[in-house]
Amino acid sequence: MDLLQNLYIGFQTSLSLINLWYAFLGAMLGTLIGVLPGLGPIATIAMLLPSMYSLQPTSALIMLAGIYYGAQYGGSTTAILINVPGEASSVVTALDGYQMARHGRAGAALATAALASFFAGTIGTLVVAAFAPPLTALAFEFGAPEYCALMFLGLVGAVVLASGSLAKALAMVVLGLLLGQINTDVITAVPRFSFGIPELMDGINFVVIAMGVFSFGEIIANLGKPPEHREIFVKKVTGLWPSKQDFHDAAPAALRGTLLGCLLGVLPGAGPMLASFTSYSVEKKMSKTPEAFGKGAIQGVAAPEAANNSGAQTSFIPMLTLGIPTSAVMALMIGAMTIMGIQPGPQVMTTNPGLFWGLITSMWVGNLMLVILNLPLIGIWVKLLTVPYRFLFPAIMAFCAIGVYTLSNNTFDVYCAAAFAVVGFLFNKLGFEPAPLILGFVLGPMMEENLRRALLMARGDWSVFVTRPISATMIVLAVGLMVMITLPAISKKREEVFVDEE
Amino acid sequence: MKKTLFSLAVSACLGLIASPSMAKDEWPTDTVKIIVPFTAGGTTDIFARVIGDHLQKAFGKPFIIENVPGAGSVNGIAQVARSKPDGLTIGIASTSGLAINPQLRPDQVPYKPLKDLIPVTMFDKVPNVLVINSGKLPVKSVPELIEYLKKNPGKVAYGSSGVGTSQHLAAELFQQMTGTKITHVPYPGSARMVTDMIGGQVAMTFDNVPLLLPHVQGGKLTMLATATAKRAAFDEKVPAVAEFLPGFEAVAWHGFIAPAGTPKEIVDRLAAEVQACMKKPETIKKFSEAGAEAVATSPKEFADYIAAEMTKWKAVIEKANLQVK
Repeated sequence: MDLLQNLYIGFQTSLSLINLWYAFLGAMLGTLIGVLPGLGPIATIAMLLPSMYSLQPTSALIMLAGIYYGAQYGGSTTAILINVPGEASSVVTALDGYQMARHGRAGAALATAALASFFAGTIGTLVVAAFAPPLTALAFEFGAPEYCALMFLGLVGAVVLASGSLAKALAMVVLGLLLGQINTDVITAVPRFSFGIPELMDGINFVVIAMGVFSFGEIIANLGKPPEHREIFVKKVTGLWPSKQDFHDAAPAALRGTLLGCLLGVLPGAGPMLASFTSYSVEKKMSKTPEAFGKGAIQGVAAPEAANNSGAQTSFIPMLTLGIPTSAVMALMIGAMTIMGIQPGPQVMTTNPGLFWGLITSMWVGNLMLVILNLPLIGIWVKLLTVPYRFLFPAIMAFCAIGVYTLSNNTFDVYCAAAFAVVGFLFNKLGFEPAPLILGFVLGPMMEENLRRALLMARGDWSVFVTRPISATMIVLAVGLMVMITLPAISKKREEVFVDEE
Repeated sequence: MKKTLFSLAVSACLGLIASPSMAKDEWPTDTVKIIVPFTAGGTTDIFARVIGDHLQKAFGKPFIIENVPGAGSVNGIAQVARSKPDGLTIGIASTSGLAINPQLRPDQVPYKPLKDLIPVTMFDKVPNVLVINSGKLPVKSVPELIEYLKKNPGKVAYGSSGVGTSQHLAAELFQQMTGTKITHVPYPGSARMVTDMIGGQVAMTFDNVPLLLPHVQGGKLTMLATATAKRAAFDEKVPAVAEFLPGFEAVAWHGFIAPAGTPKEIVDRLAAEVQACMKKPETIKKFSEAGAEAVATSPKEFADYIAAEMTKWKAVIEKANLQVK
């Protein structure tokens, strides 16, 4: 009953005309930011901050939250349409979403992404409202050993992401791990592999690699084909809507993705991204036709999109119940709260119930806004694909280059992305898939950091990984998965299933 | 209020008197760029935007924020040091960028704080506090903690928001002054560290007030003392570490800097206007809500303060042999 009453308080706040307007404004701004790779949500929100001080705190936070979802959703749009994943969690969406677009099913892919996100957002909101405290407790159980074990499991799972050869997928994971080693060691503050270049001391930005190997690599490869070949996938655009069969395929995938997202989203740092990677791997493992993944399987869009969105929802839990930000956008929201005189923390729920529950219910309102906003836009986005490639690709390049530059206002990142474009083109030609590389690159440093922190705290005792139940379970799972992949008999069967395209 | 108005008037008059040169009347001729060496959205960035907003209104020219994050604020400060000293590029720097990193890892820091940069004015101090997870440490006061640490050398872990931050060096200073040994567990930033504090993965920390205070009030963590010289304004009941270890102080601070060679008139005028901003009651309120104490110093005072901080942290770094080669 409490839950209903709380939701009632929340909806009273979030459904007021003024807050609806700000939710809409936020969702729209967020979509724009997400679709234009040249604008990052953080830079935009930071620019908007001073003007937000004059708003009611509740309205301001609702708008910020709207920007957050909108940007996430907009990022998926570009991932599907032009293979530009704006953030780590939409890398997975690009895998099958872009392939769907290439087969003329961009509309279906976009609609699936929107509907799966909305479904996941609805469930996610309910989960946040009902289970915030127990899920917070889960986050506390996750110390360094658990994180390390989770990353290990994720890395083993990364191999499943690839639709091509196992050896190539492994090579890409390892390359990703190596690239992730370029940074300043957190434990000792010694710069590694930076060769005295100050820009490398913080490591290469994820966006630089993603844009380079995914987007630019794809563009060069496209330009290498004869023009009539290049535009063929645009001309045969069929139906803007998913078919009945699509719904039938996508719905269970979306449900599984949502559940995974709700659980993993709570973990600060890697939640939504791990959720989308994991749900993709799960779908592929469960599917009767795993060979369709990577070639435009609708489950490969629905599951990660749902996971990503419900993860984005539950990743608000640590912020709502503890005042601890789990992402840069949330840090910004917390900054805004303090500036507006609300001290974020566990007491917000009792001192500001209107704001607390209003924010939670506005998540759902924001998701609804996104669907309302984006379903009609699908037609326009698909039309965008009919723009001749010779006009489209310079525009994509320009926006991406601006986006890369604004990461830290430094041309170095742009040169770096250019170098990765060449690498990405080579990968494309040689049939190496970039997704496992990205996963290795993102998870590797986190795994290393947590491994070392765990050992530091256990004073060098490796048994810490198997004596703690959560960490032990994940290590067992990872080893089991590894055995499955490497056992010759199974691996032979695997090769039959995961045959190379040629 | 009256006092504030008075000091506003005084600083305005001083500004007028000490300004015979042309540069003063003309500056700023164009958009002024404030380089913030941290990512957008952090506390420092938000503070910079609050002050930038004031400067923009006061000088009638745009003051834009450019975030140049990286290498523990070294990248952004280095860019300020390299900029043309015409007053159109200024920057923000903190304890770690000016007083700690140049000595902790001199090979990687391409500027000498007081040679390549002109301190303009310090605008805030952010107190660190000593917080423990009382489920992990059976102590109720600083003397009890010291005693416990002496009995269990190296067995207790403390979290910090990174190597070379004021939080890290606060704990080093604490160990040196008490003759104890605690294991350092660095995190990239405070957020994860606070989660681990509450979860009991690390037992103690010196960190900023804002992120910790709600959990102290919620009963999950225990604040033993503040790392300020005197008791802090946010809670007079909490003792200062200095009451048990005379001279112990570890605060984070932020201030404006300009490239060396920037005309004195411009530096003074900028300093006067930032000071005026920091004395406004609404600024003081905004800063205190974010856990920081608004301060307003002259360029000279800021330079002296930096020099003193450099000497202090240099000794700690050398004694603990922390320097990164």
